[in-house]
Amino acid sequence: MARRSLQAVQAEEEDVNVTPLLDIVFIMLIFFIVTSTFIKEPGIDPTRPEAQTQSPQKLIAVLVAISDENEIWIDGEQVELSEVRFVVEELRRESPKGNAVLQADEGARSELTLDVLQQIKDAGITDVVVSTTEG
Amino acid sequence: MRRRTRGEDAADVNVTPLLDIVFIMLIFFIVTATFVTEEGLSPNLPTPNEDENDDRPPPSLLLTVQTDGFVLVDDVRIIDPASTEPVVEEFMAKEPKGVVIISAAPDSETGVLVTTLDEARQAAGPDRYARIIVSKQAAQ
Repeated sequence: MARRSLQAVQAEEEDVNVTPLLDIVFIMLIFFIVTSTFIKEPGIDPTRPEAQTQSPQKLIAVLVAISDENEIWIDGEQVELSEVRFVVEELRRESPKGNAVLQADEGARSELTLDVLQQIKDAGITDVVVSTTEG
Repeated sequence: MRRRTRGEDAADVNVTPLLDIVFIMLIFFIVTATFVTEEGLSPNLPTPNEDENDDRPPPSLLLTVQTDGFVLVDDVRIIDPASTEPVVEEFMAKEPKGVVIISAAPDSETGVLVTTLDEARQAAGPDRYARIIVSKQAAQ
């Protein structure tokens, strides 16, 4: 008798309606799949110059950094100025919609910063920003 | 009666393995989700193939960012980069169609260049950001 009632309880527990849970989980899954962008960080954290007229950059796909010793870093590796365009084009191929951010150290040479900017634009990305912090 | 039995059979599909996989994928995407936010200025670089056939070039203000961290205005006077704003504002008031050219010396610091650009943008306002051009200093 006791065993029988236990079975009845188990049968009721198995009957939990998981459909709404599944709905929510699927919606969350789709959200995270759609919003996930695998950004390749440059690997260094330069001191950004201060500015007041900055605006947020959306859909970042390419991050390029310039250290205070005028080294260019992309995706955890140091690259030469002449290779920047090629590397950016390659990153761009993986996520064609995104824009680029150049994290230039405030102590880096202006010429190098402008050269890298030009290279990124030559690679086909029109919307490039120079990363700044609020001053 | 028969139809009802069949409907119950269809409702009995075991969704547990599906749920397991979906949960694992969900956790993976939550963990790997990175919301990188960056703020910055977007400088306008000079375009080489611009139509230069206009009758005459627009009036321009030349701000040269020097290696010593000061800004040379129109090759005449030297100012501090932080006080670029009133200079640009005065120029914009005088020449409503004028173009501001920020020319950076090769060895000048990016920080000074960005400060100058930021000051000029403050003076010009969002509508006229397109008329601030940043270029490298031409070889002498």
